[in-house]
Amino acid sequence: MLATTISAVILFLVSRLLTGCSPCHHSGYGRIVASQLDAASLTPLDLSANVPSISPRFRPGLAWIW
Amino acid sequence: MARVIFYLERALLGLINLSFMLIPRPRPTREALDACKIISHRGEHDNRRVRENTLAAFSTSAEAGCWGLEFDVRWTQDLQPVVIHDTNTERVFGIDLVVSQVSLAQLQQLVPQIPTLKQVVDRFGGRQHLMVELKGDELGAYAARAECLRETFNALEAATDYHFLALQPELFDLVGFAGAKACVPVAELNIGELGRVARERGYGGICAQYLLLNKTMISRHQHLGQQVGCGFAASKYGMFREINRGVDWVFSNHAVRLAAIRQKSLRHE
Repeated sequence: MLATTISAVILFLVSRLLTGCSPCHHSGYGRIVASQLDAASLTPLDLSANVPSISPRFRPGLAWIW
Repeated sequence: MARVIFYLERALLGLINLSFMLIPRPRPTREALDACKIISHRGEHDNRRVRENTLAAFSTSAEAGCWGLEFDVRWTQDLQPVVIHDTNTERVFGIDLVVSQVSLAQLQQLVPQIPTLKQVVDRFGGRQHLMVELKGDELGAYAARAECLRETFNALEAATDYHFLALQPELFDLVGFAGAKACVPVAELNIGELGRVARERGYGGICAQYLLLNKTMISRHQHLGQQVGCGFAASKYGMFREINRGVDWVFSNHAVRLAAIRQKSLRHE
């Protein structure tokens, strides 16, 4: 239990320090709008409003482990 | 700087895994061990002899009796889905190539080890449970891509044979054919918010790093008939902890070893 707590606190603090990301932050997850799913549409989905766009290289956070 | 942060994060996760490796956990009951579903993360790989997300890596995991295979899907410039984690092939294959900037033919010529999504689905679909992680990009043409994915998974049953994973739930709109129950968001540190989204939208469950999910969160999802996945168990006790907590899917980079430990534990029961 102690190891879990300590590890969780370290992970939280370091990740927050590195990414500025908060687990409580309300980011609002959207959806691809219908017009973007139309065959004629080539508009790129704007993901930047929700999460940082995926860089060709490493970016801080936990995304890279998945 | 990015490289320093990367190594810092990796060292931190290594320390956490080490602490969980050293703390003894009771052996799970036979029922719990039977129910345990071990998923090989990117296949069994060391990125020296066997590269991640390749047919060789998946074959080793499948032959060792892993229940599921997790892999990542990206798209080439000509909108063909291929199985690779990074946007760039350099880290794994040593060739500086951006997947979304080359055609499938070019990619297969330069890095033939990278399989197409169809190759993986055809070979392992229906045998292993497929955990297909969708990666975001800016290529657009979502309707064409949605149709391509529907065709690729046409012969399989959604949520029974496969699930789609994504860090960005928006990407699930590409796989509307599979239904919400086949979609599982993956949390970074946003577990509270993403958990709420998963419950509200009736997704199949949620996945997160094992430290971020507590028992309350697990039971909250399971009471709704959703499943919970944890990444990444790295040791026997790490796996036992997740099984004892009732986690449905145990993702691991050492799935073959953990599958053997599970088998051994079952024999001792």
